Amino acid sequence: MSPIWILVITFTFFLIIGLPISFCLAVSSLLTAWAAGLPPLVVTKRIATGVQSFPLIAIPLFVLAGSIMSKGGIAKRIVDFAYILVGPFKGGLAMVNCIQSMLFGGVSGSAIADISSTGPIMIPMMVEKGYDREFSTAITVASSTQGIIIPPSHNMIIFAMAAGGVSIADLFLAGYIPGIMVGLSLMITSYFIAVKRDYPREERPSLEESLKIAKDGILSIFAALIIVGGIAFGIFTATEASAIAVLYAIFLGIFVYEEITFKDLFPIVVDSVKTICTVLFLIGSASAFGWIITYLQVPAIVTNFFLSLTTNRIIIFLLINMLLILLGMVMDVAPLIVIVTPVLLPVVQSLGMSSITFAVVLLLNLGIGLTTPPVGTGLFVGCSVGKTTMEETAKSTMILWPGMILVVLLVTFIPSLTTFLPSLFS
Amino acid sequence: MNTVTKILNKIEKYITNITSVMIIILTLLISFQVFIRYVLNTGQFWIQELSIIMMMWIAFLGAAAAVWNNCHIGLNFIVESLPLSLKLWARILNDFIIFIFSILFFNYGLTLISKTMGGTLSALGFAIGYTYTIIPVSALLMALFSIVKIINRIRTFYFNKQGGLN
Repeated sequence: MSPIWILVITFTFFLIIGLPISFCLAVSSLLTAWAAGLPPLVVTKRIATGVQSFPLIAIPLFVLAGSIMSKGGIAKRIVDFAYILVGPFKGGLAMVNCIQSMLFGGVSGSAIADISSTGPIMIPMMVEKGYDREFSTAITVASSTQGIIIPPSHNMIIFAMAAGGVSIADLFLAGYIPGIMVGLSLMITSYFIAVKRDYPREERPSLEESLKIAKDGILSIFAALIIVGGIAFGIFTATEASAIAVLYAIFLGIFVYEEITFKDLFPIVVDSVKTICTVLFLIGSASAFGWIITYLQVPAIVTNFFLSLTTNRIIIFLLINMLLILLGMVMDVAPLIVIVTPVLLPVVQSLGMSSITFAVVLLLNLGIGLTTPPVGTGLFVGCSVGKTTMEETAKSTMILWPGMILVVLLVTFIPSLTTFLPSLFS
Repeated sequence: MNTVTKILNKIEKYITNITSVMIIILTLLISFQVFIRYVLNTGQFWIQELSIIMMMWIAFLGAAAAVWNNCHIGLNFIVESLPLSLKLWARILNDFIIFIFSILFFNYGLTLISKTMGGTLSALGFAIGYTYTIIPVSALLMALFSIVKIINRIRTFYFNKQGGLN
């Protein structure tokens, strides 16, 4: 049996029996190395060198910054700030939810951190004003997916690791326009829903209060300027920016907003370690897997497969988008990035799509996957925060998908949406 | 057996605390690097070297702890839809695969150490092999965690004993 089949069969088998994905990658790479007559020590070496990278350090630190921001009151300040911006519109609270995720995504980058920190504020507030519970949860979950696209996004760094040789600064800048487009699509959809279901407008707080909220909010959003601005202008690397993001989040949480103390910090770190370590080991084993895949020339085989179906690049891109949404429905974002990138990136590159455009397309699709059953992590967290069932919420989320899918298609076929901002800075 | 579970719970807690401390140190080291570059106008290569090694230690120690507290992400919805006893055996098979992998990983880790003992880290000045000691250590922990999980699963399911089935 050819080593490629051993790789495919063992990996699929392990996946189906529920073996953690990082072990699926590591064990199937090990078995394939044996079958292909490669020294298995190389697999171990690859796993170890896969996590020994300076840019990779940005991942744990951005995750940590995100947790500190959500517990240290930054999330709450951003909700208030979004409230004074769009609250007075028809269906204002739904829009507040979208804008807040856009801004929080601009400082934190984790969809789950967004849902779990602002969901408990937003969902009860919306339900009290007459929004139905399922829609409130659905819009919270759907809007949080902006966080994985708008920089800083640790998922973009995972992509940079998996793709190899892609600039993190370019990936970060590429995410702004598509991320904001997702937010706009959700706001437009919620406006129509609000008109149809007669959801209320909110009253604007007094000028004095608004100014105070704006001051607090801008201090939070300033983090985005430091992090992404610093990286884009080459003042510091993504890794350094992530450390500064942690310090800034601590500074705001402890000294400015006074929501946490130094004593609260250690539990927050312990809490985020659980996310961090599984992602890091995943990246290690994915680097062994990626090496085996390249050695066996899997990308060329997959490219030929797609080209044997059709030579029309539009159809291939549509097929890939469909594939990504389906995969996103059953698997989590980080594992999919590391598995899919080495296989599909060469395919789309041979058809003229740049790696930064593909990164955004990939994350947009996987973002939609976060909002779908059966494995949408975002939907899952959202439902436990919003106290609803997955089935009911999924029905409400479906209304939001057409807009999100439209954004995916626009980004897929109009490359300048992703390449324009990076080109300004290079 | 309950004592063993309790001891492993403690070990897991220690590992998580150690990795947390390392992440804090990492934050401080990297902020310090920015500080000395812009304020003191010098670069310190040992910071990069040390933080990269710490990164590997965090990844492997954390991966071991995550085996014990089931934090690793897997495709669960297929297994979850199986009848109870099949589900149990699928879980046991998973733990068993992790156990076998850990033994191999331990073995290759030792080989990797002996092969890299000759090289020296350019800034920190000690043998590269030492940095890889974390591989056999965390592999051993993973093996221990997975085998105790198997025993606990069987005890809880067939003998209805409390062993912390998770």
